[in-house]
This record gives sequence, structure tokens and C-alpha cells, in this order.
Amino acid sequence: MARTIATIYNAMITEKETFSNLSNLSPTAQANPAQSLLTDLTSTSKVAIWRLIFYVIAVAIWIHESLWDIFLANVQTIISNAIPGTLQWYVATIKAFQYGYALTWNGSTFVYSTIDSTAICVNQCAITLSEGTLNIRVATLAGGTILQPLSVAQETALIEYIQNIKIAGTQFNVINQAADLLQIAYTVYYNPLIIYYNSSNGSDPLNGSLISNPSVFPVNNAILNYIQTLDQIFFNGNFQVSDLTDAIQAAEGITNVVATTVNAKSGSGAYQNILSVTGQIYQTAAGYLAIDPAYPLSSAITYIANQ
Amino acid sequence: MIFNVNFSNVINNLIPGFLRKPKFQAILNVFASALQYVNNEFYAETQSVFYYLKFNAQVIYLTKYLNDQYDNVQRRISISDGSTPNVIYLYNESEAAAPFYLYNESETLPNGTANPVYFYNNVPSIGTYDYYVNIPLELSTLASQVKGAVNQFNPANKTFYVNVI
Repeated sequence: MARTIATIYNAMITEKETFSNLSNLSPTAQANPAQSLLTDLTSTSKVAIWRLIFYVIAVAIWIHESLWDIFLANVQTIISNAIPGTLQWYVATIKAFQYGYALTWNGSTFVYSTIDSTAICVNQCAITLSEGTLNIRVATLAGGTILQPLSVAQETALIEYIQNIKIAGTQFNVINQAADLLQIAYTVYYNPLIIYYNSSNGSDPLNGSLISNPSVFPVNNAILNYIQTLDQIFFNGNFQVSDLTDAIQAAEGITNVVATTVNAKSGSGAYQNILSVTGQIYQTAAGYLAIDPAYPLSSAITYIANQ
Repeated sequence: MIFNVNFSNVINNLIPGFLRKPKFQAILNVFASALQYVNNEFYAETQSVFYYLKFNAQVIYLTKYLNDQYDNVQRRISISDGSTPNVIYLYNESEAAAPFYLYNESETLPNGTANPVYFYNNVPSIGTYDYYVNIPLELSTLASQVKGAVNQFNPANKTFYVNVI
């Protein structure tokens, strides 16, 4: 912290007073040396010249001390913005990746010369650490709602980007694959005053809709909303059967829910029965889930009227 | 931020006009000359520190730093990943890990391809570095300097090797 001009000036005066052969010089410590100096300089006082010398030197020293403060503040600012190399930092940096742009040196840091939000393609990213290797799961949003893998070209560019921005020596894998597929079958007990179900025609397209609004299918919407929330808010989170069941249970007009089939699989692997897994939890390989189109929701829900 | 100050100008501006006599200005400048020297040193140090602080262990920054320092024109210094050693862990049966089989040379592997397993000594050898700093042959005499420069930024848990190519 730089001393004030007055402090420096008075320190010099104090030092001067330790020399007896300078005792004829009578500038004394001043609360405001600049003000009294101005007054003295317009007088015929010879002493004012000495005081001026002291004052000028004090100002010069003060400037220099102030520069130290500024320098220290600048260094602290830079250090506080230092690259932490944490998993959160990697996630944030990867999400800032712009497809089709190269990082350029702006004189102090590597940046994108143009910020183009339309070129940002990694909408979801989660990183886990496994035996010293970063497993980086990524996905992009198609149409603003559906997660899907990056294109091969995007993935290639992303890998090159990570090669550049990563801390040297860091091993990583980019996991960019289609959603893990979910095959579900639920039996739901519904309130027939609210939910439409044509028991004589199980394939009636309006089955499961609200009587008051046939365009709304509460159970289907609850399932899709749950999966979308899991994918987009808790990307790479655990899928728990109880959470899905709770989401369906909370749908309008539904009184009871029983999960009969909940299977999940990654890629071309075999389906795994989640109901038989301890805790009924499934960790996605891709980081996100989707309903298997081969098992659409329209045939996955068995409706039983609550009598 | 400007850290270099011309104290001669500062002092001259602080002297009232009617006192700006050459001798008086000169003696004050003599007083400030020592401070000017300190400021010049300080300025050089700030520039050095600010330059250094621009860089870190990120590949893109470290590569730029090394090329700026040692191969500013051709910029041939690069950084490549170390190969991960194929470490084989042995487990107790109770740990239920997937079994790992070793075969005789004469045996055909299940996948029909050559898949030899190498055993390494527990000393630095191929595959034990986290990354390589590749420098051209012409700069081989600077290898130790490059190593020192990389060490300024190298994370504590990473190993590297300056590889002359």
C-alpha cells in the first residue's frame, strides 16, 4: 500500500531532523505540505526552496509506490483468472467450443475472434474421471429440445479443440454417442372422469388423453418431460425408476402407477432390466436417454380405470 | 497499464514556473535519477511478469510460449500426448474382475490377431511420460533450456520428456 505524499514528505523531514547540521533548515512536518508550500513559495522565504525539493522528491517516490500497488493488483487479477484445470472448468470451456472457428492470439490470451452463438454445438457436457483419464460426454440439441450426438466432423473438430485447450499430459476420451435407449411398460390406474380411454379399442389414438383437452396426454407428457429434464438438467445423471414412477404418478388424472418393464441399453448392446438392479438405478453410457422408437409410448402404457 | 515514468518530466512539472532555472532543475533531476533507475528496472520486471502470466500448462499456450522463446520464426516446437502404458492389474478372485489371459506364442488368440503383452521394468521407459515436448534437431542444444521452461508451467503430477526429432 503506497504511502501518501504527506507521509513520505514528513518521513523525509523527520530524517532531516536527525542531522544537527541541518537544524537551520526549519521545514517541519506538515499535515498538508502542498498547501503550506504554495503559500511559502510566494513569499521571500529561502526555506521554501528546501521544502520544494523535499516535496518534489516525495511526489516522485509516491508515484513509484503507487505503481507497485497497481502492479500488484494487476497480478492478483490475472492470477484469480488463472486456468484452474478443474472438471468444471473443462466443462465450461468445452461448452464454449465454436465449430468452424480457430482460437487466435489476441496479444494476451487465446480467444475466438468472433463470438458466434450459432456455432456452439456442445450443448451438454459432463466429465468423469477414470484412472486419470477424462471421460468427456457430449451431446448437442437438435431443434432446441432433443439431444443427439455431434456429427463426425464436429466431433473431430472438438477433439482437436480439446487437444489444444487441455492441460498438457491430460488423457481424455470423447464419448459422443446416441442416447441410451429406454424400453418401458407401465400400468397406470386413471380417473375415468379426467382421462379418456376407449376400452373397446385399445388402439384409439385418443387413449390416455384428457377428456377436457384431447391434445394433452398426461402420462406421455410426464414421461417425456422427465426424460428431457434428466437429459438436459442432469446430463449424465442417474436414471432412477422411482423418479420416473413419481413423475407419472404426479400426472393429471393418474391415481396409481406400477412399473412392469423398465429396460435400458447403450448402443447396440442388450437390454438390461433396471427393475432387477439394486436400487433400480441406471447410469447412462451416452449421458442421456431416449425412449426406444421400437417401443413407443403409445403401446407402453396399460390403462386401468380406477373404480 | 503504463509502468514506466519519466521522472524528469514529473519533477519539472512540479516546479513553479518562476523557479524553473536550469541549475535547480538539474539538481532535482540528479536526486530523482536513482529513482528513475529503480523505475526502469521495475518496468522491465513488470513486462516480464505480465508476459509470463499470459501462459500456463494448456497445450496451446505452452506451445506458443516455447515457440516464442526458442523457435520464433519456424515455430516447430510441438506437444504430443504420452502413450498410456498398458498397465495390467492383478486382482484377487473375490474382486470379481474380468480375467486376463496370457497365451503362448503358438496359441491362436480368440480374436485371431496378434496381441502380445509386454512387461516393463519399473523405471522410466516408453509410455511413462504424460506428454512429449518435440523440438527439432537444430534446437537440440537448447533441450535443457526447453525443459526448464516447461517446468515453469508443468503441473505437479505430470511428467514430460523433451524429445528431439
